[in-house]
Amino acid sequence: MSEQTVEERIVRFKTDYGCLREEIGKVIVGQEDVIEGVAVSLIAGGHVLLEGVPGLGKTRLVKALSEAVHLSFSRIQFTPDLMPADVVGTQIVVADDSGNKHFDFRPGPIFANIVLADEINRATPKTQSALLEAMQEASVTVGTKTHHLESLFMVLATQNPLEMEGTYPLPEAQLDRFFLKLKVEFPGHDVLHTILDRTTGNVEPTIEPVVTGEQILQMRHLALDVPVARHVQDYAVRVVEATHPEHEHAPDITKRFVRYGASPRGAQALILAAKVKAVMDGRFNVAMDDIRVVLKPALRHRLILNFEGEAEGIGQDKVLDGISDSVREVCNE
Amino acid sequence: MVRALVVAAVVAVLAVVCHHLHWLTPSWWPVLGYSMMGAVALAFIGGLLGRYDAVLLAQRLDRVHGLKDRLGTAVALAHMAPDKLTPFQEAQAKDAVQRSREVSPSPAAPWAFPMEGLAVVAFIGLAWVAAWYWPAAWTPSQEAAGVSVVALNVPLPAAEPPPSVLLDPDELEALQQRLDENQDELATLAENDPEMERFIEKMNRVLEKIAEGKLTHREVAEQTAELEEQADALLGEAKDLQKQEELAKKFDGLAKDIEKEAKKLKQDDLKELAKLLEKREYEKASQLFEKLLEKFAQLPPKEQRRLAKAFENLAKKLQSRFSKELEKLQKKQSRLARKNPQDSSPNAKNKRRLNRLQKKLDQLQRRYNQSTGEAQKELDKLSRAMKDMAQRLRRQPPQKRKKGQSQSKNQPKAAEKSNRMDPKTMKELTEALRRLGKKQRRSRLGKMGKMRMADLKEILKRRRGQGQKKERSRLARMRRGGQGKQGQQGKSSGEEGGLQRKGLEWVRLKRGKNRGAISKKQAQIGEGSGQGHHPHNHRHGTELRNAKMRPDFVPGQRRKGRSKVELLYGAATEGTQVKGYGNVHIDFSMRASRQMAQEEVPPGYRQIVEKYFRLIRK
Repeated sequence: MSEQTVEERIVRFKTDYGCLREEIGKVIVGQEDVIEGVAVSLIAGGHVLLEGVPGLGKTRLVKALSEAVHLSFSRIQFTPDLMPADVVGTQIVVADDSGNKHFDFRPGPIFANIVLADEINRATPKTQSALLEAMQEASVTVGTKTHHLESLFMVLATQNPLEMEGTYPLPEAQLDRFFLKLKVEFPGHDVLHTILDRTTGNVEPTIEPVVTGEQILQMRHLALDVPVARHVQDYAVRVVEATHPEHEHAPDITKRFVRYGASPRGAQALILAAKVKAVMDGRFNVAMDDIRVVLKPALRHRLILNFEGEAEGIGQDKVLDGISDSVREVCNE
Repeated sequence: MVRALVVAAVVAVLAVVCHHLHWLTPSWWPVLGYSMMGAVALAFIGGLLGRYDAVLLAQRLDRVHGLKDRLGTAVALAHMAPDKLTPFQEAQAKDAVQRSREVSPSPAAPWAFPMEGLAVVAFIGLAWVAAWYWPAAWTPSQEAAGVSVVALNVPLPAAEPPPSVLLDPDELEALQQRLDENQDELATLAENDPEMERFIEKMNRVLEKIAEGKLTHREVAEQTAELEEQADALLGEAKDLQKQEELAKKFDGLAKDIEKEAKKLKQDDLKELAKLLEKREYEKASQLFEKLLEKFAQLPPKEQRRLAKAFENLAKKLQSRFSKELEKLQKKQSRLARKNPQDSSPNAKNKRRLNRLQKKLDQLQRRYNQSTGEAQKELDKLSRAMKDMAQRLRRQPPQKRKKGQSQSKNQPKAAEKSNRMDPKTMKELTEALRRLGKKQRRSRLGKMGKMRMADLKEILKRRRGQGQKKERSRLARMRRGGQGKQGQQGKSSGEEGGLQRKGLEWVRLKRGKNRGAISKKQAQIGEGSGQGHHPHNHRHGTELRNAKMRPDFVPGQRRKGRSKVELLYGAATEGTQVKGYGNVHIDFSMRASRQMAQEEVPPGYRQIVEKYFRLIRK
């Protein structure tokens, strides 16, 4: 592979990503950070938890993404009576032509490239945990048989932070399996105007598939090749260490409000997302700015606040802001 | 560079400490100063010439030029494995090189920023100044330590004059009053005594200068101390006041005897002498006594004989007084001797008793000698002088004298010579009285001087707030020590077995026979600083069942309706818990779980409650 090839790949990556953004942008107005975050997760091979109040276009975004790529898509509406078998699939009795009956596995909606787990916190923990193996191992075990999922598998879960009645907050173990947690904010004034203009007329925008699964896998390989300098990686490590209150270099805000810090999986997510961001930006290296950009989405759901933090209403984002301010880029300067 | 500065600062601190401990002579200061300056300068030059970390430099360039860590990554990768670069890494290095062509290193170069250089210059300047000025500024302590001081040519900055003592009108008035008071008495006391006159003059001059604000606090302190020393010296002369008192008592007795004899002889002059002795005006008495001796020589022989007899009587009485006292002592000795069981069996008990009695006897003898020794000497002289005078008066028969008067011209001279008192004896006699008078006068003057100085100090202390501070500290001490509590059962009135502060600990007083009433008197202040505590001041733990509870309603934050809560007062206060947090937490969380199991609770709520208890668990 020559240098020219690398540069070409980078250019192609940028082009493909630009097309994807453009197609999604036909339907979703604004929410650039969310779209970018979803794209980063798709390329990095992670799962995304979208959090936002109803009506902000979470589900629409996921549908638009699935339409913009040549990938299979399924949607699971999580409800309290949803059973694990409804997600992963079940064994059913099937009669063949000769009349013999046997059990056959009927795959559930999780057997798709992109799975939308809508309102994931409405399902019981039992059903939620059915996603655990699928999300981490990309496989599903039913009975004694393990079924592998698609190589390109992504769960996009949504949840409403306000409505608590009849919901089951996701356990920490499951939260940690999400690559990024993206907060869908209320759009701005102008964006709202554009949304109304586009969605209240007769013409409904249509989305064409512009990126294939193969292309996405190539993009993933390219992103994984991006080199990370030691001092940049060291910065990411120090940031993750700073989320642990018992660590000697933890800032005061962490010591005061955080109960448990981010896991090593969080550090992996930080670097991976930064790599994808660097390639999206057309760079050959990961910068510290990339780490800072993906810091909140990658770590906010991995921090567990203590009672004081909860009582004071200190969000994870505020803690991460404090950590970002306190951790210096160059440790020995 | 920073390390060099830190090392230099540590060395400077150590040098200051060593100087304070007198381990370093001032001659070492320039050496230390130059060494530190040299070390810092060398470190700075070494830092400039030394190789700067390439990755750090690249990072600086990235930051200054916004290169998004391109150069830093390229340099770091090149350092890690220069021969095993992947195509991607090579592309990255190429990209970095391409970007670096547009980069100017000067804004990012560390030596382009002159702050460190300025810091070095400032440090060297400070060290220079310190090396030259510090020994001069600390000369007094070095002199005190006996260390030779290096002569420095740098002139010291002119010190500001210390504040002079200017008194308020009230204080001035008090001081003036003190100045005017007893001036006549002082003048009388210092009469014919130049030393005492000088003392009084000096004392008055100091007080006047203070009133005019011409003296500084330091000068006042010095001069007051000097005056106090002089007053002490005056008092010191009269330290044997007890002995003087003994002597004065003896003279009192003598005055009565003289008065009796004067009545018999109908001698007014002797009566006057007796009165002066009685009044203890010894100096006047001594003067009168001199005059009387001259006068007695001119008296007719009959009168002289009568006087001689009188003086003999007086001498005898004086002797008899001594003998009486000696008799008393001897009686005591004999009484003790009778108690002395020397003849009995010399067992251990008797031996101990014997020793004890012997000690007592010696002690009594010593005390008698101490108290009456000097008085006895003086009175011995007086007694001898009286006897001598009586003999001389008797030695002069009237016929002889008459003959002598009618005979040759030399005879009256011889008779006069033999008739006159021996000057030595006379001098001894009067000297005793004069010495006593002088000592009396000086001690009184010394006392007055001390009193004046004490008043002056009090005024100055009050002015400088020391008095208030002392009062405040006294009150604080009382408060700390739990003193001053009304109603403390003290020994002063009730003899109740109460508690009294003694030093740093509380002492239980002995229980008296009668039941003690509650005393309103403040307890005594202990000598210590009052760090202890009253044993009854221990806080009693608040039991949970005693904690005040009241139901309260608080509005729910995100839901309609209200929640019932119970506020626990007291339990949250530090130091009042009687149950460990862990136990309380388990109790409450279990109760909550039981309650949720009994009632119909939405599943989401159940998890929130469980999460809440999980979060507050320590």
